Amino acid sequence: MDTVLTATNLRKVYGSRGNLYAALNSIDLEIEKGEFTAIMGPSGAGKTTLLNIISTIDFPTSGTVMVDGQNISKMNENELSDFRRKKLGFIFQDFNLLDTLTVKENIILPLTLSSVKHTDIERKLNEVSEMLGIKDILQKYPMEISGGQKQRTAAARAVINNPALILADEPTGALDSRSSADLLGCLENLNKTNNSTILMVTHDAFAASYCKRIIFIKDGVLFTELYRSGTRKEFFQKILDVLKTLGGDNSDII
Amino acid sequence: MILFNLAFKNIRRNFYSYFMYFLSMVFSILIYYTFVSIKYSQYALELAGLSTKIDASMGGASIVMIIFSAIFIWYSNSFFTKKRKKEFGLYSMMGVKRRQIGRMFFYENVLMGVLAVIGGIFFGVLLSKLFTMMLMKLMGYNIAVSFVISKEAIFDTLKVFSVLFFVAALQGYYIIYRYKLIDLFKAESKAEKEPKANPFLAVLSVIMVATSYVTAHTLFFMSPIIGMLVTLFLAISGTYVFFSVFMVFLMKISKKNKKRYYKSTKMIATTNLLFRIKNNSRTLATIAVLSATALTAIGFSYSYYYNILPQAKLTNPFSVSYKYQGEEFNRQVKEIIEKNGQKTVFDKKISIINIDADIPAIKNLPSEIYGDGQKRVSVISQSQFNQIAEKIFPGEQVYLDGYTNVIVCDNSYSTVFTEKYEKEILELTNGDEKKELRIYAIKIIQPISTFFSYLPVIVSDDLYRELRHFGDEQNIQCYELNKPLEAGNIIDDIRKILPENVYLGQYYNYYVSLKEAFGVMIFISAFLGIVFLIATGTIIYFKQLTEANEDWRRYVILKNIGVSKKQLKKIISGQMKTIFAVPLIVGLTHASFALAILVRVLGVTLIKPIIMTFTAYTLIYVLFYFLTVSSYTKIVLSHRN
Ligand SMILES: Nc1ncnc2c1ncn2[C@@H]1O[C@H](COP(=O)(O)OP(=O)(O)OP(=O)(O)O)[C@@H](O)[C@H]1O
Ligand SMILES: [Mg+2]
Repeated sequence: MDTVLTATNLRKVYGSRGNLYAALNSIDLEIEKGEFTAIMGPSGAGKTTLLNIISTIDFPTSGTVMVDGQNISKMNENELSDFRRKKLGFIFQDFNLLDTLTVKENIILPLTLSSVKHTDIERKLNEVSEMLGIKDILQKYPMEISGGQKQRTAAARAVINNPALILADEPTGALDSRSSADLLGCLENLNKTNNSTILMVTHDAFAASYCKRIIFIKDGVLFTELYRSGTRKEFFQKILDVLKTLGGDNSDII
Repeated sequence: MILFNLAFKNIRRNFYSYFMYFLSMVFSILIYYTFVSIKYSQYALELAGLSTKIDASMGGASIVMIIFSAIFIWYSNSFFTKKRKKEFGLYSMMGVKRRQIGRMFFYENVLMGVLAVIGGIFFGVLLSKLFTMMLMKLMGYNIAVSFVISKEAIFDTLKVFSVLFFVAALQGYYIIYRYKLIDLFKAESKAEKEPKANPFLAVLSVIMVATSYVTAHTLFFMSPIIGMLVTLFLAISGTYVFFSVFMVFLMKISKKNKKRYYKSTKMIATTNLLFRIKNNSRTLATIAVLSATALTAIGFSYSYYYNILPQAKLTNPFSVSYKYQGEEFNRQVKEIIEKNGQKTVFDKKISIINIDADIPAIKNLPSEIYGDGQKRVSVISQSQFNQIAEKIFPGEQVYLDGYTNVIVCDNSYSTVFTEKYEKEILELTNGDEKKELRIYAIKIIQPISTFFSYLPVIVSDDLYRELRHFGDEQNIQCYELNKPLEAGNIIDDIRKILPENVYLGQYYNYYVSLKEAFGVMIFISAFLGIVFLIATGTIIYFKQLTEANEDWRRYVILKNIGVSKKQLKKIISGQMKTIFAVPLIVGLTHASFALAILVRVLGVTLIKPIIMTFTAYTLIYVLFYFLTVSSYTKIVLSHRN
């Protein structure tokens, strides 16, 4: 199998002289093509920091990140923009949809920015909106749809350009349990049928149970890993066990 | 006192958005101070006989400034209050009483006002000498102006703007006091829905504006008052509908072409602009109308100023002319001219024949209306006219022959306001003897001073000889100086030796008084125009920056999904281009049509001064554009996630 993401010896230090704080401490990580991975850990563990570095939105203090064979630490601003647009798809906790664009326009935005032919755009749109069950709301504005629909729109936008890696930071964070299940079902479906590689940060053991692999981090270092085996129920139970030993902030875990 | 401190801190925190407003207020106060200080100033009074005129015009200008400042302050004030509703709501939540918030906002306004007035007067005092010198220069005076602090002007400015700011502060207090807590939070959570555009209204707006251009040139000349009202109504309401409907309509159409719309950043740019135009259409239309007004006013006075000399020469073509008084007198005049260090570039005795005449096709002869009421013409031979034309009206030479065709010189002729009589019959009479001639053409020039002639008629040399017995021939001595605009002393000296009942024809004094009048006018209109321009530019500026502060998330989203900085800048500058260019272009177009009427009325070409005015205006707008784009980009890029 191809490796999509390789992170070696990642460190991220915040603060300045005398008041340094290492949010990430020598993290090594590898993700293969077609994996559906969750990152879990207590609050302040460094999950968002890690995801932001992989997203190229933030930069590591030291260490390298390779995505799809390209070393992103060596890229300049312009190359990074290009890279983000072509190789990565994002799903954010607060959706990040543009309220001046319709659902359809939001979804096809990455393609228009890459100047894809408009007939191809329509074809791709058809595919992903079908897959995510948002065909009926394409002409609506974000103001007019529910949170779950918004997040599925964001997911559609994230996958429409066939990115090498889809990154999601607490995608279910702002959704109720019904919408969460819907979205996770969609992601699982994407992963299965499209062989999309998905990396998702979550607090929620239920959300994590949809994944094939879970990486636990604590205080900026890798704590342990879990691979899915058996049913989702069994996996869910295992996750809860690990979280118990992990300690820390478990308040929002079921 | 605590509230006062909080108010002070607020100003400092909000200074960025208040800064441009503050600057334009300082500028307005500075201009107001300049107007009143000139009104009260000594130099103006020293120019005897002129002072009242300056007084009145500066007084009028300062009143326009007061009205405009009042509107500007009111607009900005309600804008800032609305913008800060949420902040006030937060104070309310923290338990600050509404009355206290109102008072805090009141103090803020008062403090702003005090600072602006101090700044305005400070720079006013500093620059008043420069501005007064500018005015003197425009009026054609070379007077050394000394630096004077006018106490009356300072007091006047203080009085007027204290009242304005105090009322504004009360208004702010009132707005806050009236709000309900829930309203304070609603301010910014406006639901953005795609604006609708009625195609019928869109087309109507264009038709209205186009019709106003037509009525300006047709109806106006039939009935000026009704024409003006209809034109203004159509143009102004058409402009408002144009911005609120037509612009939206246009952009929605541009969305239809998927091939173009889905290309690169086009989609984001178009939709952003669509919402921006929708939210700003009234402001943009107001700015277009204001720009048109300012441009017309400046263009008008500048054109007039530019045409003072031809205007002055329209009644008196020569530096010096008088009824021939013999060679000895001429010698004395030439001596005076030489003594004053000048030379003549034209020095001739011109003869004319005054003859009773009529043009049956029209009611009154032009010279009858503007002259001494007699139906007479002054005939001049073609060869003499051409000698004058060669020096005074280059390119106006005529070639007549035969005994019927003549050319009339009518300085008041206008193709729109006066009766037309081209190609009509001119009847000359001498007792019982009659002669019919045909008016071949009409020239809007005056070859001989109106003091000495009736309606000038150019005839062929042969016809001239034949007409000698039709009336009395007169000789006019005419001089043109090499420095005609420095003829003051020469004219005074010649007056001294001229017999009392003999007129002296000259354009210098008329030129000077026109220059004085229009110097004041252009000074006022230029300053008022600049104030308008800066105020409108400022309004666009702070509205856009407020939107940048509200919309930065959109740009962060774009950045996150891989839009490069360069593309972001392109999107921003593209939007701003439209926001600035459309009101400017509409304003320029309106003003062009308004000024075109002027061109027709005055019968002169004003292309050069008008282009210069338009260019200057555009340049300042471009400056505002760059300023806004750079601030906008800075705000947007300063946010990371
Ligand atoms: N910009 C910053 N400056 C300084 N410290 C920061 C910054 N961003 C994050 N940190 C610190 O780094 C650590 C890791 O933060 P991070 O946001 O990655 O945690 P997280 O695992 O995503 O937590 P949560 O589950 O609450 O979202 C935290 O202790 C945080 O305080
Ligand atoms: Mg986080």
